[in-house]
Amino acid sequence: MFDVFLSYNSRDRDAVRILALKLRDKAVRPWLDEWELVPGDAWQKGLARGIAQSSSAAFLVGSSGTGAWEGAETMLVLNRSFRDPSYRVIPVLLPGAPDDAAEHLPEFASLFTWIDFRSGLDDANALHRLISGIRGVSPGAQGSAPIETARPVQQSAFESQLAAAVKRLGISEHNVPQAVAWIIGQVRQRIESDAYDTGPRIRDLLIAEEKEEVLDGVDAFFDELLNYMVPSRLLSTSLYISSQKINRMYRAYAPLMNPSEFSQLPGGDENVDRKFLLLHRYFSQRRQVLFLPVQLLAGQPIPRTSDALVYFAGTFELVLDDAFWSVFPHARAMIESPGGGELFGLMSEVFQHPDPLVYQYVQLSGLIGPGHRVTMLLSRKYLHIESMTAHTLARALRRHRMDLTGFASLDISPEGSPILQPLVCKLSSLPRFFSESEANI
Amino acid sequence: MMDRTNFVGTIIPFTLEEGEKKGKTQEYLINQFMGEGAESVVFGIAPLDDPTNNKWVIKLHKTTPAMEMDTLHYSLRVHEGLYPNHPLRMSPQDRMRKLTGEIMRRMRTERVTFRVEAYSDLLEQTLIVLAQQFADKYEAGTLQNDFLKSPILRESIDDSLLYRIQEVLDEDQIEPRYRDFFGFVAEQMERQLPSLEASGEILPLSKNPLYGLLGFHLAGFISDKELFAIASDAEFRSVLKPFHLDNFFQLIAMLFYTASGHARNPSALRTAAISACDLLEYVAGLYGQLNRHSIGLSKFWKAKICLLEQKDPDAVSVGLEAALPFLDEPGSLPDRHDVLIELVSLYETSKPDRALEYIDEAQQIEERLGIPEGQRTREIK
Repeated sequence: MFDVFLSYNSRDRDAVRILALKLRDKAVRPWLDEWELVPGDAWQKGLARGIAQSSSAAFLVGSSGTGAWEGAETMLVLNRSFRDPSYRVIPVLLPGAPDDAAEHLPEFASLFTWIDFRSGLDDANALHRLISGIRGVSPGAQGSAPIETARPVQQSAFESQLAAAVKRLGISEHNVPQAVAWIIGQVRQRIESDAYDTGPRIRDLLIAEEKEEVLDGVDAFFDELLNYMVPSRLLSTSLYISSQKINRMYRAYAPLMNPSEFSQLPGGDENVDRKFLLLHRYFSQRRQVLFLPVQLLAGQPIPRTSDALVYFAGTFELVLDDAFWSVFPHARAMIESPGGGELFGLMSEVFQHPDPLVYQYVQLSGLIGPGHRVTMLLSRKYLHIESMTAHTLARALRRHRMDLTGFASLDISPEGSPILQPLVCKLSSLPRFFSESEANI
Repeated sequence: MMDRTNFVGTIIPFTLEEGEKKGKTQEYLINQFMGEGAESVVFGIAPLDDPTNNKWVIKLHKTTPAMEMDTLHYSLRVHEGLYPNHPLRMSPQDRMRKLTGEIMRRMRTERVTFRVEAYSDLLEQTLIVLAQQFADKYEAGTLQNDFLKSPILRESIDDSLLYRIQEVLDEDQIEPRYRDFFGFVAEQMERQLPSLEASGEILPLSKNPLYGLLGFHLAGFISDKELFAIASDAEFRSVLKPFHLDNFFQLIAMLFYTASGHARNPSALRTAAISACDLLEYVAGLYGQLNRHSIGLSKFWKAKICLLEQKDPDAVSVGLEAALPFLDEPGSLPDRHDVLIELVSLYETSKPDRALEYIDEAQQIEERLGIPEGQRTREIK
């Protein structure tokens, strides 16, 4: 067994060797590839074994940047940490690491506290903190390096954004650190798990917060974070999953995926979910999944790129345009009549018509975060109509809003307005984490 | 689409799944609309002799034509005694007028191909034909851009086929080696379909009113009786042109050959083909003497389809014999010849004299058609 798996860019090998030796001197057993890999053994297999046999992992970022972070290694480590909350992941900045190193890390890694060796590998305080992290103990408890003399641990960019987002939700200033810690802790615990009753609820923790809607907002926001980080959550109750779009994207990107990690999957519905998750993972590794809920809440501008997956969470309204009225001229009377029986039938006619060419695309308009108006196009054939979605779609015909969450590709129309074409999207029963007034369409 | 509450007050034949009347089909009164889900609508039903009894419920799937139609479906009728002011109560003539109008509207606005299993099978068959006939040429780089004008595709290519090709491409439902080829086909179809159709170089069956009408019959919207009633209605006949009859015959041939091959559900194809023969014969009869050939063809091919089922050889021979008097014009000689040959093989042992008589006539036709002597039909041994 090893205490820590060392993940690094091979160009930083010299610095990593020195650090590994320092750890060994302190009775910490590091797993370093050049020490442990068996000549002739499959590299991938060896790495997987190293990760499995270590009780923590350190991501080391040096002057060469974050090249190694894009590999399967990263995903193996993160996968392990997702499944095993006791598995510790420690980002480490080596001497010469660029100031913006954090910006290039996988999103999830930014949840963890950094150890900063940028002033030199001889930094005893940083080494102490690293060893504490590896052993899972508080740095202050060992006494060899008094905590009060330690430089403050750098707050990750994610944590700063999270703090700002939580404030925006209305959490009182003094409760922000607690709320941020709660969200990070809960995300880590619940990732790839449906254990909703683990740990304290935010409303038990922040007793001083009296505003129920603020706490509801934090709950909703937390839910969005989970949807973003565990995209499989969206697959189980989706309103929509476009096998067409997923297959197309998978065909385009599968050759770029690491062949040992990602294999070409054949067609067929049974592989669509898997392909979507592989695509999500691929884009996440390259930081091409845009619009983390934190960023949505901060109102980050809509990027002008189509080479990305966009996470969205917003409030949408069905667009009943001229094309709709020309196909369903009799719909107006049904929509305007006070009774509900006919509306349900109209929903069937509009969204379940057996002729796929009668009404191919459903157009929605909405806001995905404060001030971000978008158009969304759904192909009718990929809508999943069951009792809950049928009810919502019937109401949508009367311009009732739908809360939707999902992943989409983003196109910019010739007029310059953003168009979302979802791969996966689900109805959200929770209130949106931005306020109703901001979502006013 | 029918207002759900309009079903209240109608009588529906139904087979109970439980209780003492289990398995027996009898009529019930729909006396309550109970609710609607994503896939079905629930009504309360009562026996006709106890119409206020709410003992049972019935769940009607939304995809059943009765649910989708504006006109009351032929399987239902209004209980006029208990619901004298029911909105759907009308004379049979008024109902038929409403039904004809509805079916004509549906034929103009909807593609029935996706509703009828036999039609969908033909769509799949066309994909196979495309791959068999043209994929090799495409790979060799010798496929010309005008391949869509090939006679074997003339009745089959339309926007439904294009949709299906795009679907199989998008859903990865196609063998990788055919992917590029079908991508090319889709591209060419997108580009050429409107002009090919406008110039009459393709005659898609889906644009034929008989194809649409038969489709709504096969999909369960109209009964046999209603099928023929609409076919003879002036509104329908106003959109029917003489070339539609020959064009519709191609549907019968395609259904027959697909049913003879490895179809998913050959019996659905045979049923569709027989209904198509009946409809063609009926409509051809409306045009009188001009369409003796179409009548003869429909009788002949109906018999051929019965032959596929191998059930009733007498019915087959009766059908073939009935075709002969209509195939008596010079243009009908090749088909008359084929009917005679079918009859010869049926009568070979049971009626050898008749078989000899027919083989003699078949030989005469062969001579008139200029078939070389060595290739003509031989005597029965």
